[in-house]
Amino acid sequence: MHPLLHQELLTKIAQGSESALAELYAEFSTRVFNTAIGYLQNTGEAEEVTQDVFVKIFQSAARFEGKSSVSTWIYRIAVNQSLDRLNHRKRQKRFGLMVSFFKGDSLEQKIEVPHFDHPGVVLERKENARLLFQTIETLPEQQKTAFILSFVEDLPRQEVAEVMQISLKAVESLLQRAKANLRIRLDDFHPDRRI
Amino acid sequence: MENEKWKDEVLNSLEGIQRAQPDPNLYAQIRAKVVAGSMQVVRRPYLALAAACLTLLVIANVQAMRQSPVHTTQSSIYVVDNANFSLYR
Repeated sequence: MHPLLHQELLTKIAQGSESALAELYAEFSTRVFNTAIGYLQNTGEAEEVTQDVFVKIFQSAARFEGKSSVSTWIYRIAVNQSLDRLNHRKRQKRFGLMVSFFKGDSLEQKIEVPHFDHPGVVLERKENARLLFQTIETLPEQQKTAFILSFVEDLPRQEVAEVMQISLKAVESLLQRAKANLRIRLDDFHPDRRI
Repeated sequence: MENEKWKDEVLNSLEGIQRAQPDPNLYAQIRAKVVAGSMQVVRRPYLALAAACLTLLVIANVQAMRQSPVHTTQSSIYVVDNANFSLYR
């Protein structure tokens, strides 16, 4: 679909058109869901975020100023909603740890390491991809966003820069640092080091 | 050396990744939320109007109470004779 048609759809959504929202959903739902899955590594939560993103689009379509493409705008909402959900999850985890501390439970039992199998990964790479997702989880927010948009969502670097509202150079630098950090963290998972 | 090669393989494991698909019924849930949200927006003006009316009513009452003088027993034209339960002018 042509970017101008995206804008037309958004204008209709701003006027309350549900059929325009359905068309926009058909065009972008997979991208939004896939982005959310990169962050949350959980299909149920990624679907909830996808819902929130489209409800937000419906509510704020009138405020779209056209300074970026519709696609960039939607990705930005998806990234923000996913990060919000991650922060909410962290807060819940902290609260859970506190409760278990006061109850006298073992803290180790409460810290879950996600084992996520992305449904779109080629079968022979599944185990490596699982390790990669585990280590992506440990990256700082900005590096995580650059890595997910570039390698999970496979966006061109320029679009990643537009979504993140930073320069192309900054994206490349974030990706370099992300890869260096992932290499360091992967040391703990090397087959020879695992018990 | 072997370790570095293995890390490269892990880092490249997302090559050729296909996009994951959400549940086919997800849009129905989104539509329900959107409709529920629109109904709330429609109800809000009535709520605001009701709140405004209530506020006006309270203000009018307060004003009325301030303006009307309070009658004390001294200024009353009736005096009660407690012993006989009769009224004298």
